[in-house]
Amino acid sequence: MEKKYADLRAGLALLGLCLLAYFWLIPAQIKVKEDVAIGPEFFPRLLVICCGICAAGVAFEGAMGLKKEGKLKLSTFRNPANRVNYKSYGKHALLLASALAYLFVMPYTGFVIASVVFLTFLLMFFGHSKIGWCFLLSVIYVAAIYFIFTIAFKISFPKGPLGF
Amino acid sequence: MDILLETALQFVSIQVLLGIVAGVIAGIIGGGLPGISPSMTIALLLPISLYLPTPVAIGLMMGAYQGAMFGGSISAILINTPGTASAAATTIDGYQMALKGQSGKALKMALYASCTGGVIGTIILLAMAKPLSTIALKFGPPEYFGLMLLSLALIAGISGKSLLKGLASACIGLLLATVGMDPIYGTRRFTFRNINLSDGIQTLSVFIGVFALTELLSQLSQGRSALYKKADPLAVVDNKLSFKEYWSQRVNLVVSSIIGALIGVLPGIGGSTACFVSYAEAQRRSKHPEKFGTGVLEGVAAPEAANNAVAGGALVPLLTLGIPGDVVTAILVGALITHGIKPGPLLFIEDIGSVYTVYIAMFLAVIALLFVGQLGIPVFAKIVKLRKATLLPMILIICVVGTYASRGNLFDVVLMILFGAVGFTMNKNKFPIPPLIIAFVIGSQLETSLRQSLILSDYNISIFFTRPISLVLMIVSVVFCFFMVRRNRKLANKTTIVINDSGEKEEE
Amino acid sequence: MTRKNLAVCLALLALVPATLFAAPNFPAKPVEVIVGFAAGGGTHLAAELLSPEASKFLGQPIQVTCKPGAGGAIGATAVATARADGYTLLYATMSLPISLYMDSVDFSENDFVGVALASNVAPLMAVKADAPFSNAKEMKAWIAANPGKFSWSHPGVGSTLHVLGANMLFAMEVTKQVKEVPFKGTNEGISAVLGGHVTAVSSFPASVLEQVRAGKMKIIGVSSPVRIAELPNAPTFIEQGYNAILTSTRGVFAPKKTPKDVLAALDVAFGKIIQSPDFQKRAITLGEPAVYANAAEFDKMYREQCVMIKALLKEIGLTK
Repeated sequence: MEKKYADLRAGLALLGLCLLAYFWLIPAQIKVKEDVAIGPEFFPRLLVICCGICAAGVAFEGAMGLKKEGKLKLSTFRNPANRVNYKSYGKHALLLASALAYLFVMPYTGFVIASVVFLTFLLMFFGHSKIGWCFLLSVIYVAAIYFIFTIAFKISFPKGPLGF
Repeated sequence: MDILLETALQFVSIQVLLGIVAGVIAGIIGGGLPGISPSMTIALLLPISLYLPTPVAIGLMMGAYQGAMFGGSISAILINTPGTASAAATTIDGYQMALKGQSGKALKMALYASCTGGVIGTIILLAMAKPLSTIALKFGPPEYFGLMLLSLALIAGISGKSLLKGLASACIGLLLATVGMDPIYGTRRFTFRNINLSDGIQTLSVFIGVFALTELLSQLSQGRSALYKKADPLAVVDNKLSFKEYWSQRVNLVVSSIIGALIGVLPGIGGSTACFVSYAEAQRRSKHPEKFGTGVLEGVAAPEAANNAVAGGALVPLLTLGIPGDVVTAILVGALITHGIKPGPLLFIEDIGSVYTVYIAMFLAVIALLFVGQLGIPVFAKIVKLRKATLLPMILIICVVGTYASRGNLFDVVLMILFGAVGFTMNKNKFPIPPLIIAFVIGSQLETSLRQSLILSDYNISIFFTRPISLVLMIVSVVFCFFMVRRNRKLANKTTIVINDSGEKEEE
Repeated sequence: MTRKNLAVCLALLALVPATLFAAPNFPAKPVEVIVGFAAGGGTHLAAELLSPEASKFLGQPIQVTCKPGAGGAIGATAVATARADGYTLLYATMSLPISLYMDSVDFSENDFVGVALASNVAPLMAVKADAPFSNAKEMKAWIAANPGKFSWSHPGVGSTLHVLGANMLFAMEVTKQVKEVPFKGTNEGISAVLGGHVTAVSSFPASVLEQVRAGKMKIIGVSSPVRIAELPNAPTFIEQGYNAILTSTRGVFAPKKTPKDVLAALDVAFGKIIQSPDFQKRAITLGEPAVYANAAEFDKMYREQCVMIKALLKEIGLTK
């Protein structure tokens, strides 16, 4: 049942996104070319329509499945056990947010410093407990990556006040 | 004949052989590091090759090419991160095999498949260069569109149980491919006035985000103590690859190699398309297609054979017409020119010795790959022995560095993180990811070829049906689509017992 | 000490910080040259030609970094916003003025100052060898007699070859009668022509040299004031009576605020690099002609190009 409900939810959400895309995103982002048969907006519109149809189909299948089980009722939607448990994704959100912060900080502190700090944080986040050990491993690993990529592959990383 | 012998003798020298081995090693490392593409690796070797004698230089480049095409599979299998765009399909089953404790087996299959693909690709190059290039020239925009349509049709097969979800994923992939400049009019689409999106979403941002980062996020669900556990030594179940297992793949390997070589022959299409088409085709041919994606040998053998065969194929237009068949051969042109070899229609007539040099270098490169790879695999496989709590953070850093390395742009890394979230959401809602990937890869060529064809035909659709090759491709696409949808229906009607998230048994 | 002596001492002391802050022998560390195009491509290889002599004439090595995207605009933006201390330079082609007017970019014409001209390539229009016309006049007549059949390819909207190709067709006054088909690169365009799918391609000489030599393609005209050395038998458009003489320049730029003495040092150094016999030899093997213009001349060229391109794009209809 949960799977059918999830399908219904996902289908509707995707359908909503497609509608948003078609009526707001595409007109906002693509300048329609007037005098041509197939302009830049043709393909995106077509794709959004197809995606919307598939999404509706997924939602429909979910709804039909629920109906077969006799669960297509308002009480199913109201049931808190069927809600998405956003709290359980706190760790994931934190991981992504910390990664974005790392990228934001990098142009100011330079690649090496930002990476050492971030990696130390990550090691602790993923289960280690000895911060000193994490820091040491970070320094070694980041240094190795830095040298391999800058010397062998001639990639230049963002530089901070210390020059690296 | 004398020229052939003369050229062959040039290769009987320590310097040349060392050059080839060095190239293979450089290629494997470059290919294995996510973000360092095969073209980057060869571009880096270019300045060095200028000072070397011609056979050594060409050996170096060929070794790097073949090495990189294998190297990508190493990180694909071990850390779910395609090391090169051509290893994206290998990631799907390769990583699953590693999770089952079969990383050594997967790596060995990848190596042997790569070598087999390299050999068959070179044989095709040798035997059929001229006729192939004539046929390749007949491929204009309508034919390219037909080919892309065929690739799309194969998606129907890799959609898993829900065709609708697979199609939705594919649509999303195609939409992602439209981000950037319109190919015909140059209009900006979905760029949010951000100059970094003018050329579209970078392939690596999507690949690394949707494979590696998504996996990272999924692993996070396990909790800190689970991740901190030492890797179970008993977890390494099966690291050997028997000859019987290799031999069981023979048809798969040959077909995939041919697919790879043929795709390589067409200018503008290369490893990333070939690996998916061969993967999807292997699944279509397989007696147990539903097992693809859970960690089957075919799923590793097919793309790896294909991407190494692409090298041989891409050299066909290069040597016969002077037109590179893919991004990597495009860089090779520069290298060849500086050594006094002028790739063009007159090459076979004026300088057949150089052509033989390339052929022999390719063969030797494949052999060198076999040896170097064998030595390297036990080393690479040790990575799985690390604790997840140590391995996963290190992977994240490599993902960041790799995504950054391709364009030197932090924005691409931000997108990579975004796609990690997208992939994670898709997984949770059971939307299959491979259709998104393949649609994204072929999306821009699909739309471009369609619109180019329509410009040429003054918006008359019949152009696709009046040209013979295009018509054949269209018909085959429809036929494939039909059969795969039918098989998909049969699969969907089979119910399976599955343990769902809360630990209860449920019917699916 | 007397008041006068004290004043003199203070004045001398004041000069000390001034000398300390003056550019302490530039360059003191490697100089980064940013290329706005993909690694391994023509522009990147042309930029790499500068590397080997750099240490000798500049005193420090050059590090070529590729920041591809938006037709060179991403690389240009990176240099426009970099610290103007002479350690970050741009290697750009005519795509720089083009992107200023065809594109919405975050930099303006005045954000850069020219340092040295390194290369100047002439574009041309090539067709398959068996095409029913062999020069510009015949081509124009054929287009008039066969409306809607002529198609030409270029490597993408906004690219140098797109603008220069459009310019050639504009000079021939056939713009409205031809079909424009963008491809992902010159090579795909050339195979399309060889395969008979597209009639003509706008390309630089290096890409079609071998095809012409093998007799598979022929040149309708070259956009250049005089005939080019690599193809002495190919007529120019101007000698056929059509005013298409624009060529594509490539050179080094520095951010506008770079101090004058740093610019002078760069001017001298690049002058030596580009005019050195080794550089010229390497350039010729890559199909690049050997040209040079110093900072003052190149900067003037750049300004003139900006004005000209702005008008040209409007005239041939690529911008409003």
